Amino acid sequence: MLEGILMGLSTAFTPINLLMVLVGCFAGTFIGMLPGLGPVSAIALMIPITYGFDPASGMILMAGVYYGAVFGGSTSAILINAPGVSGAVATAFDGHPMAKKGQAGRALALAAYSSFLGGTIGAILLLLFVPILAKVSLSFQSADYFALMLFGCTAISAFSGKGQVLKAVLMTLLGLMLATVGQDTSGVQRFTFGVPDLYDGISFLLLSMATFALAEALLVVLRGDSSKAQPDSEDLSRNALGSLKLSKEEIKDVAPVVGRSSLLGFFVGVLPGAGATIASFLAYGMERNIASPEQREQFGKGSARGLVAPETANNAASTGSFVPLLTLGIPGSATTAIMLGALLSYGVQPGPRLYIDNPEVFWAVIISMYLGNIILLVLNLPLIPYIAKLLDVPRQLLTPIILFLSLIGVYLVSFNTVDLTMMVVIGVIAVIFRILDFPLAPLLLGFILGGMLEDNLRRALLIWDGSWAFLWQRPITATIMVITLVTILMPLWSAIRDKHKKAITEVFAE
Amino acid sequence: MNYIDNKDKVGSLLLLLFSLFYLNYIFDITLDPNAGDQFFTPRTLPMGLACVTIVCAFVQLLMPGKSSEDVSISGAVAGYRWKPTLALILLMLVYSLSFSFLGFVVATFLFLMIGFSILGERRIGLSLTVAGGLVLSMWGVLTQLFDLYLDTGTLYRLIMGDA
Repeated sequence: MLEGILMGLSTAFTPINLLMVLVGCFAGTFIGMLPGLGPVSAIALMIPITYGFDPASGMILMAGVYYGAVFGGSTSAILINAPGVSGAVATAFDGHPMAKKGQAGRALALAAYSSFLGGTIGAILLLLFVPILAKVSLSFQSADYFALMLFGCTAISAFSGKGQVLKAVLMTLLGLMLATVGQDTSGVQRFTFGVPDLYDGISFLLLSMATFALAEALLVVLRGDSSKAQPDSEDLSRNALGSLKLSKEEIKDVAPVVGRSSLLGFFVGVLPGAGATIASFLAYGMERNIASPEQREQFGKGSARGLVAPETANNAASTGSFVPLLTLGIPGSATTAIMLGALLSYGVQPGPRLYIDNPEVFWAVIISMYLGNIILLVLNLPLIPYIAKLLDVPRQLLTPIILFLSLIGVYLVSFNTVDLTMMVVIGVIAVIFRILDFPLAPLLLGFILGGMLEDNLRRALLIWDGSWAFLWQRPITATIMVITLVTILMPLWSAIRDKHKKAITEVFAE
Repeated sequence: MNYIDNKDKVGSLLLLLFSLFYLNYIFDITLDPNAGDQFFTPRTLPMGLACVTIVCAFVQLLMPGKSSEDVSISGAVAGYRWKPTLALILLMLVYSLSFSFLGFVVATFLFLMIGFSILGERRIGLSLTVAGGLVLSMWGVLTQLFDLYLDTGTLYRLIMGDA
């Protein structure tokens, strides 16, 4: 492992890769601060730029963008109560009240330090867990991978919230169906309707840019956010942010919160589909529950604990979400799904073999994550007052620029204008599904996993001579299948239980 | 229950229609004549996906829904600004269709200028500076720094006599 760490250090510390982290953190912070644009859009926007890079540099840039966007999301949550990312929603609960009290600087400093510590603890845990899990997963066969892909598809649905499970399943299925467009591995054309532009299938970049960057920008216009004045942002960025320094007592008070939230965040992040949003809410809830009655009173009114807990947890979860990606090749979130797509486009297959075949990419990504955290703390924190000026840029100028960057990002990869038209059409469909409250992250996950799922199923059936018995006869496959079933049935079971309880209450009330 | 003004029902109906359309085209996938006894053909996964989606969409359609306020489409879209959104969508389509003819610089400049105007930016000087600056800097970075080819457009070639 030490050899690997040194390899990662030597790759990450080359001038070009240091520049990548630096640029990534800055770009990510800027994009993440814009309400509506989160890490997914930020990374999607970066993909065309990184196409010519070597895989390690590309991944390092994206890791920087990821962390920067998460940090940027928190900044806009604190300053203008507009979380740029869903993972920063819980940050706004106490961060914005602190800013309103004239302690914006303190809130931003607390957010930056807790993000750094959450990321650091997460990176250490990642360093410990990933190599072990990668070695274990080397014994996996196609059947196990098929089960894992299935688990990846269902897990995101299970964590999608009350009443959303079936909708998330449907969107995953839609993603899987879209993945079958184009030429299959045996060379047969499927659903191409004789259109040559569809022979290679729908581009993953096109789909991710259309469903996230383009759709988000259109929704901002649709909801009327583009012309709204932003008095809060102007007030908070133009006026003094207050001191960025923290007292010793404050540090002592929040230190245990950081420890608890880091562990919770990391392990929640490891679960496919859970991610930073759930981690941040769980951490906030946990801290609120274990706080003394006086401290609990402060939650929602500018409590330092209430700010630190979600901020630490969402960063630790962001790191944790790399575990399934790097070890099993399964993205745990929409962001890591995009990273998986990017890795595949570089010709790098994530999964247990990544550790053996491309150790420089594997270790450089892990090291650069930590580096990204340091850069965010050292460089971004002092620059916050200046970065916050971005929130003053009129949305009527920003939105068309975002639309243009999304379109040109896709064009620069294929140099095909048909892709632009297809992107607009998919973007409109994505907006319709967003209005109908159908989640888009499962669609992307299904699309990314579709090809691998089919490949592994085909191979498994070939090995087992057409028999599906591998699902229950191979212990690893059977275990994963049981977990998958439990994951998908759990929300269903709790819904039935809730309904039952409600019915009993109503009977007694009568 | 109002099926037309219901997000869940309309969404699942759209997915049901899509999966029926998808199912219909599965039979157009050409198979190897010797594929009759193969257990996994290019149709296997699409067929499975279509069937599962149809079942799930039906379940979602027939399931008792949430309160009408939560899932009302008309409630959700009340106050939405359709005009500028549709104008922007149209602008993007025109941009994609005119890109080859006008070329990167002209098409992008016009796209940004019209986009700013659609969203209510009335300061022409500022719009010109932002659009012009962005287009030229992007063109410079992409063609000079990253050595990428950007289409100059048929119009440019016609004017310059290169066509």
